[in-house]
Amino acid sequence: MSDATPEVAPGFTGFQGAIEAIALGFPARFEGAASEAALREEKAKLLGKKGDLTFALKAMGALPPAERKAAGEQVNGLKGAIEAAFEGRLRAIAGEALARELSGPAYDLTLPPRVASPRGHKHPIGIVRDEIVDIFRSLGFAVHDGPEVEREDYNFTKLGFPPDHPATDMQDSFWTTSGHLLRTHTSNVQVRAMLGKVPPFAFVAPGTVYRRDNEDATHLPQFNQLEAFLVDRRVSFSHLRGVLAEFAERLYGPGTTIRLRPSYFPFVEPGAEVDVRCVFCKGSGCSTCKGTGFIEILGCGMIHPVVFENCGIDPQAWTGFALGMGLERIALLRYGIEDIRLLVENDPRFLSQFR
Amino acid sequence: MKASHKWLRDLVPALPDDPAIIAKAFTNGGLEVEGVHCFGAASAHCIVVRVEGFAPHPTRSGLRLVTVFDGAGTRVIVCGAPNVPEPGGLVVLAPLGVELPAVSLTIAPRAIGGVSSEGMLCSEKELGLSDESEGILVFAPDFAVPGTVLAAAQPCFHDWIYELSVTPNRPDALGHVGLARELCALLAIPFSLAILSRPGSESHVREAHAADANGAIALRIEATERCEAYAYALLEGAVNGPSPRALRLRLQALGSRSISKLVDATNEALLLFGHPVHAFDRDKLAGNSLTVRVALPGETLAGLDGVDRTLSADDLVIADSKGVAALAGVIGGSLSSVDAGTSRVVLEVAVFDARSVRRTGRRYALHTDASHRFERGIDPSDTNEVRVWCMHRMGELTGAKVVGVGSEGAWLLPRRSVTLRHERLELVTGGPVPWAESQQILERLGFECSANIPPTGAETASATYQIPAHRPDCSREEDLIEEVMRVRGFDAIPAELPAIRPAAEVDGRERFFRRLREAAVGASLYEACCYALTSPEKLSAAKAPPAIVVLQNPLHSERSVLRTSLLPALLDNLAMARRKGERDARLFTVGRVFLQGSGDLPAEPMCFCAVLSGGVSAWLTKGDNVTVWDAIGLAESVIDRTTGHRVTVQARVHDVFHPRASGDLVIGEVVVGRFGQLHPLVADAFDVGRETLILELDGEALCALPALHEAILPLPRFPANYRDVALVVPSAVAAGTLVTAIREAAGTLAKGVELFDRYTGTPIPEGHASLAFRVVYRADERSLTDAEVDERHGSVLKVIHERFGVAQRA
Ligand SMILES: [Zn+2]
Repeated sequence: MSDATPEVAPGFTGFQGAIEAIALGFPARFEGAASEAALREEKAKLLGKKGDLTFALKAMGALPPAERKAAGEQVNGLKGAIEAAFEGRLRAIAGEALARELSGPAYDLTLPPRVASPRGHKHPIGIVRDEIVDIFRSLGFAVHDGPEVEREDYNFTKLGFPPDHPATDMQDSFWTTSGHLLRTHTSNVQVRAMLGKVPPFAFVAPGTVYRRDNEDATHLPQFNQLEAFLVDRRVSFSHLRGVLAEFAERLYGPGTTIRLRPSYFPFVEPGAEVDVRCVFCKGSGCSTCKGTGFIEILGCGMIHPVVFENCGIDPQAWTGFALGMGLERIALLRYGIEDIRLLVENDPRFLSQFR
Repeated sequence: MKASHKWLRDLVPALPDDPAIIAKAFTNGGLEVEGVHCFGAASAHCIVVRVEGFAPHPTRSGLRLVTVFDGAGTRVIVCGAPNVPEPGGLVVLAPLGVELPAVSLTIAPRAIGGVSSEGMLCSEKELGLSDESEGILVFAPDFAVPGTVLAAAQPCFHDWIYELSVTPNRPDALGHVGLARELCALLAIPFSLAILSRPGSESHVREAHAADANGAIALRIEATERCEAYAYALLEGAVNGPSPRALRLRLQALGSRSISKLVDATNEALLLFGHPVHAFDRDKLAGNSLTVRVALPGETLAGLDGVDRTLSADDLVIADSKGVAALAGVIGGSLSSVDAGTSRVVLEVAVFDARSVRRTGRRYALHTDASHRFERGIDPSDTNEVRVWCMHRMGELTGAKVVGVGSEGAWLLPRRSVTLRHERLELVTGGPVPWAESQQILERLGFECSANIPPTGAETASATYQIPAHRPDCSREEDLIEEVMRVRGFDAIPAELPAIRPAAEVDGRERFFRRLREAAVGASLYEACCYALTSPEKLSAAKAPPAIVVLQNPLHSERSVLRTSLLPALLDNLAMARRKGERDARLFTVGRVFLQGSGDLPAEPMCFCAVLSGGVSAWLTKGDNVTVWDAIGLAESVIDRTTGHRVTVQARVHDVFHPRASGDLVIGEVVVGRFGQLHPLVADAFDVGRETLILELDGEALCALPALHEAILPLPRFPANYRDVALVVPSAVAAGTLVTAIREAAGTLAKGVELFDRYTGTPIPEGHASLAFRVVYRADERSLTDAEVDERHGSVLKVIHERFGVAQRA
């Protein structure tokens, strides 16, 4: 069609001829444009500074004035038609492109995902510790810590251990060359809190403790405990039971029942051991609970009046309870870990399994 | 402690004959039953049969075909035992289908040499009654009617054994008398030991006293503070020998090996009363005196366990006129021990100090049934009762007669009394406790009420109790409250959540270190849980400060001090993973290190340490190995996520790091950590890869940082203009220096300068790098024109060119 352009010549006949040639030619020219770029090129050939219609407009000046108005309307009409056809074709091209894009082959979704930064992992002891600390914090206990290298007085004597108690022996506890010991339990935090603060208070104390046990599948010389204690006016054993029941349900799920058995720890009286209904067999008996339907998870009791007296608190005015548990045991049971040494080897293939 | 169901019921026949009920009562009362085992389980299924005759086996020599009568008919049994009795004798038959757990056998029909045996004739061992036996069990013809089940023929063949975990505060539970008393209290059954009292026993002792006027043995307690009382009885005319079956099996069931009548009588007394007793052969003791004293320098004892010991001056001993005859309360001497030929016996019933016995036991790593009980404190008040019972028992077993008794010290001590207030009982319990019930419980346990004061006006009811001698653990009101609570059962106490007043804010540290750990996990690290116990060598290999906390009694040298750095343990973990073929590891740990403190205890600051090794993750391409910039990036990310502060890097050489890649992390004026590539020699020492990156943070310094101003900045109101500049510079020029220079040259209009590309290689000359920076220009109060930005950027280029002599890359 563009071949026709050179035929357009100035003059009346030339103007009409040019307009008609344009009007006849543009639909096919647009239709022939396969891409947006080609389409815009065609449009520029028609409407651009050197385009056909611009050329025709120049020829309009040669027309008698009386005809110019009609010719102007004719040009404007043609221009509008071209614009409309352009827009239509543009939409069609975009539509075709989209249709092509949509109908292409599916991406390979089996390629590995692109992760900005792969996840890290908490240690199982960290997970259990945080979870239990949070349960006690939500019940109103605040976190308190104490030293791992401790005075014998704070680790044993003030807690009511008799001077010759086996636990104080070189056989069972680590002693330092400066005459202190590595704390054998987190109960030293009770002493520290009582000496430093005026009741009432409620604290939870997670931490590392040490006992002179050789490393094997069920023992480590260093492990983690968590202790919680409350001292206030008229704290009773029934409060202890209430906290234990709440704790068991939050850690092991609603409906978890507990059982308290009288037991003995020098710094509580009465003392108890707490069993939870076995979470694996729901109480019917299995290998984990050795057929008893219960699993022992912690020790507890009412704080012994001797401990209060040793720490300068009047046991007639204040009462309290304390409870303590081993975090390793809870983690081993929860995750089915059969060798406690895995907890300190920190093998990445082990750690990567904890969420 | 093992306890016999049958023996408990012998003492208190009213106890229920159901081991499940007894076990539950024990456990709920605080004596945890760890297991209940059946002794002689097969005895309930085996029957007593009469031998009718026997014939040789047709094909097998050494075997016989024994015809037995089982009360209903006869059976033929193939038997290899040499001791099958003559016809009329009784033996024990395990019929077909019976299980013999002791030898893991179920009796099945089986042809032996072509003859089918209708069961098996059993020995004590096969029935699980003893560890070894010679031949099958044989009874006299009048033992039982053929067809009788063995367990019914004689009770000693079957029992239930409770495995009790006895807490150290309950020495009374280390004997059957104490256990029976406890069960009666728990099950509300009247308790009396009438069954143990022997008619005429007291007169027996009186007669013996008279005989003793001759001064059979001169007794002296020198170490009075370690021996409250010592009583003896001298018996003559004993005919020692193996114990009767009933006694032998009872001891066997309780894990105590039968030795001879005299020794078994002492073990029986121990298991009955929980009060250890000892027997000497009078004829092996030198002279006519026994002295309780501490050992003299150089004294030795050949123990009953076959070990010769040189004694310590802290050991309490029983000495005859020549030397040490026994380590008091721990072990007897072999030279004075009773044997098969013993006819004259000195029976010792004494009260030794718990600590003294414990020290001696520990010194020689000896833990005997006797020392176990003395260490926990025995009831002195039954001293005479035990003596009377045991000498009577020896007489019954061996025909021995008491010819003298004597004692020193006092075993009947004044009793303490304690007052229990009803109000206090209910306060500690947290619910109502009927006052009368508390009195019944305490009396069942042996506490005698000496005064009971009803409530008056404001005063609560109270009662005063005498503490029984068998409960040395009870001395104050709380002890009585505990007794009432445990016997009533903890399940009787309602559960109630306490209203806790919010505590003063003390767990800010918890929140901070939780954030730190979570930031590290968010930065793709794996949390490790490390030993704080390490060795001086490890600390030194990791260039950490020398240990402050050194153990007196480490288990072994590799765990002999507390760490001053978290690094060695993580490097050990890394080395272990590497040996297992895991080269990619990103571990961190948060924990205490132990440094010199200001007082006598060490300082225990919290630290953070991370180790990175192997590749960084990349998508569908092999990622680069970790570099020092990963450590810096990790530092920035963890510190930002934890504190919101921006950290700056200052190069500084640390011993433990590669001198070319080592630096400090600084916030304001505070050094909050350090990082670097592990020094190659340190890496080699720990057997980890040389491309191992370390980040260490000072947890205390980070935790102490001031909180950041929290108000936000206004958003820019005008658009920014960007200009890039690529400079070819010698590699020695630090990129950071250029950034700073560009920022300074660009003035306040430059809101940011960022290095976004670094390139080396053709066409960049050797020893040079091309660095591309992007500068962000923006004014706060108006839009900048292109011309204005171009002019400013041009002047920046000029300054850089003049300062560094580098040109913008084409
Ligand atoms: Zn179970």
